[in-house]
Amino acid sequence: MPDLSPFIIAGLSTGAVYVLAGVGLVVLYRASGVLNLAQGALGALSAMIAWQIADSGGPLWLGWIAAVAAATTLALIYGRFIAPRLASSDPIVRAVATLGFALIILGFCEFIWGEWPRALRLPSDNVGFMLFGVRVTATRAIAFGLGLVVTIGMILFLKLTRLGLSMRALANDREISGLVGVPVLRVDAWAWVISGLLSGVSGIFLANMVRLQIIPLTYMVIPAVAAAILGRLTSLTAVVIGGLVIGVLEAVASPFPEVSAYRSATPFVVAGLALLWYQRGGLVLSRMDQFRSVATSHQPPSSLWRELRVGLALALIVAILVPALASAYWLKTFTGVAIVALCSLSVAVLYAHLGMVSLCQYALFGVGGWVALRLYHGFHIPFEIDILAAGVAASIFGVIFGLPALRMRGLYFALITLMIAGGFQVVISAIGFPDGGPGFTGKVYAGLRQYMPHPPVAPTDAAYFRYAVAVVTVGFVAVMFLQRSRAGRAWALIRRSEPVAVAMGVNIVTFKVVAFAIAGFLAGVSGALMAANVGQVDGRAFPASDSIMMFALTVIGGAFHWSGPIFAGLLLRAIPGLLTDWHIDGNLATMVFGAGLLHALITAPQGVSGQVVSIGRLIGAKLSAAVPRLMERKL
Amino acid sequence: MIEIHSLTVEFGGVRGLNDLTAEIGARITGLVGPNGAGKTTLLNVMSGFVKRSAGTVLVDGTDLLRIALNRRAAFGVRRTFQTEQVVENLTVWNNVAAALDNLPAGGRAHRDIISEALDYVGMGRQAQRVGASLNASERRLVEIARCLLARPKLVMMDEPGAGLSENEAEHLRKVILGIPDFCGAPVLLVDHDVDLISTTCDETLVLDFGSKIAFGPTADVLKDPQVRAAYLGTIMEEAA
Repeated sequence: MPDLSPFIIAGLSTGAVYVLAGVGLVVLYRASGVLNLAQGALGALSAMIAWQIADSGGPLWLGWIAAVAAATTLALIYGRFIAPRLASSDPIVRAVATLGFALIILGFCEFIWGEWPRALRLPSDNVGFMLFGVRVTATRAIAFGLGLVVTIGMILFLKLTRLGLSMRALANDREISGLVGVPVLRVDAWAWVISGLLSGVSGIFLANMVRLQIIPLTYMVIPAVAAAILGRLTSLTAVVIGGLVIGVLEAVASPFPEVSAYRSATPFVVAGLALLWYQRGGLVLSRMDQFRSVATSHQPPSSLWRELRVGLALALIVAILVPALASAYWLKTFTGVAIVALCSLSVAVLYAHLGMVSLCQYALFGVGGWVALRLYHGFHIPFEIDILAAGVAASIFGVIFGLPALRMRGLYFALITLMIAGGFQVVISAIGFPDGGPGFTGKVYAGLRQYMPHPPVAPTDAAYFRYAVAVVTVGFVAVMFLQRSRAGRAWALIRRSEPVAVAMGVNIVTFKVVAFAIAGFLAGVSGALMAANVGQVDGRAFPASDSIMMFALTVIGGAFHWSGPIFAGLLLRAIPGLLTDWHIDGNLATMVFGAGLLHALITAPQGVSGQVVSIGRLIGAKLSAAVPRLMERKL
Repeated sequence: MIEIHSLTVEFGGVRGLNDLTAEIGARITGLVGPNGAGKTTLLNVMSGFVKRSAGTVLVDGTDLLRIALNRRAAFGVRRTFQTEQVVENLTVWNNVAAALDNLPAGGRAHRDIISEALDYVGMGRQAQRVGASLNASERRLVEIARCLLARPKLVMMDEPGAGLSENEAEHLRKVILGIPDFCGAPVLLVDHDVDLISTTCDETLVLDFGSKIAFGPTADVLKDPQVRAAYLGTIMEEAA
């Protein structure tokens, strides 16, 4: 048994920083109903500013002040000008919008600083004392003290001050608080200031104690969210316990080789278990009108045959034109677009039909790719069977991942899928993802990986493009039929209101499971297509961030019309390629996607496809009005 | 025939329904009472959204509360809700089809069942309109059409008359009056509109604080001094 005390002490101080960030999340969530998933990104920005000023030879204190001030100002700007525009939306929409905010900050930081490993030193690193035979730096002691002081301070602040009372009033009921004279926007703004302040401070500490790298710091929101979840997003005392437990568990796992590779999964596991525990019990029905404020499509559905004609014609044109016109690079890129569109469709099925935000669809894409790759290398089965097997495997995982949805929905369901996606990523990299080695579990540690070839019926890249378009088209057509089937109608009822669906005889469990199975199948098939497109898949290919991006772009593309996922595919795969061609920094695209997500959530719930479809209808109407007139004139 | 026997519901320490016993056998039965009297609670027990603490409900001799929630529609218990629940992104036709999907069609073509119900409520010509485009009255009618498919045993309505204009209310009244003849099921009607209750309901059950304070022919019940004191008093005095 190794001596654990150094790890416990390190874990307690890191945990205390999670507590700081978690307290910021909870105070903001209680006052304004926004779960700020951009908190980590704000921390990353703060840490980079502090580093930049120190690196340029500026005084250290100026760096810290500027860093925290920047994080606070940005949070205030978002809270004052963007968040109020979503104030009447569902909590899930408000949380997803902060992902857009996070993407903007992330893109900005990457654009300015890039993903180089750096170090942020604090003067307190050199001061220390001995505790139980372990040297503790002053930084860690300060972090621990600050975590406790801030929490106690916030509890007293909420209890004793007038502003604190107003915040508790807002937490209880926003509208009534406004009616009795609580200045809602001003109180809201203060909550954002507190949250920004705490994210700035925790960013600096985490950069010092964990590492100064933009993406990892952005993801430091996860342990904070996990700590906040332990407090059901309301209890500050539970956040303290949660943050410290997560910090200590993470650190204590380090000296044990059997589990140390999994230690970064700690927050996901803790939060996942907490969510399941809090939502235990049998099937729970949502309140009435649960999803009223999640965007719904009010467009009259067009007829199936009309959609089929347009869709199939488009598929045919693309299948003929793209291989004829595109370069080898662009041909592969467009194959990627078609494949990713199918994965985006799986997100859209859940979001548009059931109102569910699933942030783990890209993990299912990974399951599909992996199964296809391994089955091919292991047994050399025909690719068509391989695709089906990948679909079935991902569909089983999809149902398992979706099981929590039988008990929780909205924000909590989105959070647990995020935890699943994050945990999945850790597990995949820890178990050593078998890549191109021979046999079913083969892994190549050094030397060349074996490549998975295109299927024999489509050996060239052009043929494989057509093959992929054909498979993807079948997926889209199947969803069009499903939407108009008994399942589609049952989903619409469930989305409208679960009690109403039950009263009308819908078996909610069955139809939700069916939706998750179908979404998983689509994601799995697209994963298999991707495996044969690139020829290999490895453990780094399916990070949780891609699941988030996939969701964001599906919303931007438009989840309610079949063309939406295609726009999402173009945005995800073709735009980065285009930017490389034009020598434009890809991080600008991240910023634009973040802004696009905010735009879509606030003003264009139908996304790009909604706008294109309504322009198309407008032109169609003008033409059908103009053509007879022209004919008359000729006569 | 609906037999409610010693039905009690407790919310914490509060009794939502207090030892309620009633045999509902009229074609149309009104259910009235002041806010919080337990009207919607009774409907929610029948739907299964609220658990009883004690008591039974028999519908045509079958113990309703033993049937799984999502099988009660197929069994024959149908309802509308206080806030309208039309699916906005489905057409009128598909709103009704979505309900019929889960019911035994008895070998008849779904198309016939749906158009009969829509024609009955007067929405037959609106079948292809999308839910979002309907006004309050049309939404109510679609909801009622959803309850009338495939041999219901009981149709429960929770304040269907709220917020309708005079003409619309008149049409609703006719629709409600004809339901027992159209589909053979009795109606249990919750409403605050005394006028609607007195012109449609053969019998009326009055609840106050979860207890039955009167039950019988509507005209007699509305004259009952205890009923007037508990609920109708203020309204009737104002009217007088």
